[in-house]
Amino acid sequence: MLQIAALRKSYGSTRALDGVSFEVKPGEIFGLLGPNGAGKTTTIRISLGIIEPDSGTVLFNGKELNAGMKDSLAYLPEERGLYRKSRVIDVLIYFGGLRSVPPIEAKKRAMHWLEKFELSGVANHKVDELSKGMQQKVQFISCLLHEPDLLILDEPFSGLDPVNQIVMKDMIREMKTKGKTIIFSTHQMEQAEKLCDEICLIDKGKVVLYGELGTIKRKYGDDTIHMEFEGDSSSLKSLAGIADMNLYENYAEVRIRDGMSRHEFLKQVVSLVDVTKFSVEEASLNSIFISAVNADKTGGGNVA
Amino acid sequence: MSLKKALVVARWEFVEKVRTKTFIISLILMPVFIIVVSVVPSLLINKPSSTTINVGIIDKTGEIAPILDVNLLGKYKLPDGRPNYNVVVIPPGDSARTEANRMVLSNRLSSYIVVDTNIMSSRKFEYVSENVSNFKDISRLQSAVKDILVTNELQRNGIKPSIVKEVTRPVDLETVRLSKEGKEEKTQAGSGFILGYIFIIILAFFVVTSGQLLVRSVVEEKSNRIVEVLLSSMTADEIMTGKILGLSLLGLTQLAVWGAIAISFAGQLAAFITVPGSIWWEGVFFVLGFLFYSSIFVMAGAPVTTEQEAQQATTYVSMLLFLPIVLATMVAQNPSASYIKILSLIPLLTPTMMAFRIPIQTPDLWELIAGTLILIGSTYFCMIAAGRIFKIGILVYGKRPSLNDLVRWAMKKG
Repeated sequence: MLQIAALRKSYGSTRALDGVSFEVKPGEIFGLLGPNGAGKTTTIRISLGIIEPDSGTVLFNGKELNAGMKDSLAYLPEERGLYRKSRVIDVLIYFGGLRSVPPIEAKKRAMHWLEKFELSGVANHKVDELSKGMQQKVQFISCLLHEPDLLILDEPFSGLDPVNQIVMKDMIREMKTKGKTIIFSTHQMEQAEKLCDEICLIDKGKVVLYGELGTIKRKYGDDTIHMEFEGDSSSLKSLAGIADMNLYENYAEVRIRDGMSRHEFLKQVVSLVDVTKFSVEEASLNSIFISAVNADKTGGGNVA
Repeated sequence: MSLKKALVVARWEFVEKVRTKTFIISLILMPVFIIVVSVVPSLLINKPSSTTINVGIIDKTGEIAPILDVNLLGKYKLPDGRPNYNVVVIPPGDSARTEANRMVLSNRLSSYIVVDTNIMSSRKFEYVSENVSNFKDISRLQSAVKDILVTNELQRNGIKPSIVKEVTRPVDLETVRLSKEGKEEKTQAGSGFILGYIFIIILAFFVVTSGQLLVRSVVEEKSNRIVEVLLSSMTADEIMTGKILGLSLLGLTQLAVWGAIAISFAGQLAAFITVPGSIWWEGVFFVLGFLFYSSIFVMAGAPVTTEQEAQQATTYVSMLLFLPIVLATMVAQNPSASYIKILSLIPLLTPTMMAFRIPIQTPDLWELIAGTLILIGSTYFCMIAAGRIFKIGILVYGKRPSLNDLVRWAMKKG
């Protein structure tokens, strides 16, 4: 669907992208992950032809992006908004028009989607009369009017309350069942973990982790210790036999070195803090994310 | 470049802006403004007063006062037949002035004049009033006193009153404008000046309002990131073309409405303004000027992020438009002076200078053609530069680019 190869882009002396490559397969949900400032938005903007890369290629089904192909793409930018003073239905018809949908057809489709999201009552309202949640739904609808094959969503979950995060997640899932390809960027790992077939983790303009979510999780094993505790979390930094640890106030994910038994490890922990939960599972994506980013930073395992 | 996408943008810009209150207000406000500025003052000055005005006179010669009454009375009447002026003679004396001042302050006199004994040699008299900007009354008194002096002097030299009367009759002047084609057109003096003024104001207003709308729509689209959606569905050139097209259409709508208003008022306007035959050149400079200034607004407006910066950017560009107004009197005095000709060929000034000069004295054909060519050339280059600046500028947030940055962007190809 989308092949990105060796993208490089610098802004002045800062290097935003340093050889980013990945491929998105048709019909999958692809997560573009990374901390703030990693280069996710730059990657997305280059993919859509909004800005030019210094070098590297972007191919859609083996071809370079051309004017006609733009009509089969959809893009939801980060920190998005709509024309505040215009009517909802007019804005939607305009956005359809931008992707070559004739006004009459755009209106029909817009009404269909508004109805589906129980918004048909506000079609003639001005955008700034709508609640934020409603505006976000309208924005999502604005991406669907031209029935795109590929949806690129930049931080679709940022700024959404928990209820609307679920609405957004359901919308993304529904698009997948309709055979659409979806790329979304996020730094919220829980969402990515629940949705993605494949992920690409970028940090400082470089790909640090890329592949199918299942494969990646298996690579990190199913022997990660998840523990909840009460007490001084900093005292756990002195634990021996740790390969990798992500430490929070009352929660930690740990992988122990070969040769250290869980039994021995737990004994150490119990002597330092009051353990309320101790389990062995596969690593969370959040933990993998932090480990990968930190490994990239220092060139080795680290304690968060 | 696909015109189809540009037209989608043009349609949106037009329809959304036509509906705004700002547009509707400016649509009505401008003709009102023009009428107020150009027609109303002349109507008011020529409008006869409705009440008799009391004018005092302290006449130390004793020769002026008795005739002043007759002189003013005979000439100026109110519409209902009553005299326009009533002359109140104040006997000269030590307290005359104090007395007259008191009468003015208590509104029994609107003004008074003081004629000294040596008026024949000094050729001077005083006019005292709370308001000394009443040009109509002042000039009438001035000419009345002058007439009396001349009449008295002639009579003293033995010339018959009937001859004196004949000799001192006023002379009228009729202005005829000679067009480049050699056609004679009777016009009111100064009508070309007023028309030129109106053209500059309309062009400036037109450019500034659309320029502001353009900059504001770019700022809004930057702040809600719609600009990225636009850029992901078409090229920067298509967006810019669409915006300029839409706003031009908006401007044409405005002009059409104003034109209709002007035609419906044509009867009243014709008394003050005569439209010269070379008026169609005006249209050429209007269209080119609009496109040229639009591209400058695009350059100034694309990199700004906030409403406040937008305001500043548009103010600087607008100032360029009003420069010819500063030069207006100089142009009217001598429209074919060589420095005026040179100024008219500087692209930033060409549209307004030409728009102003055409109704006053149509410039030579070579000037019109040179101006047109220079403007076409500069518009072409500015549009290309504006397109490049727009492409980079609309993705710039926060830090305002320096002039150097703008030049660098403008030079950057692709």
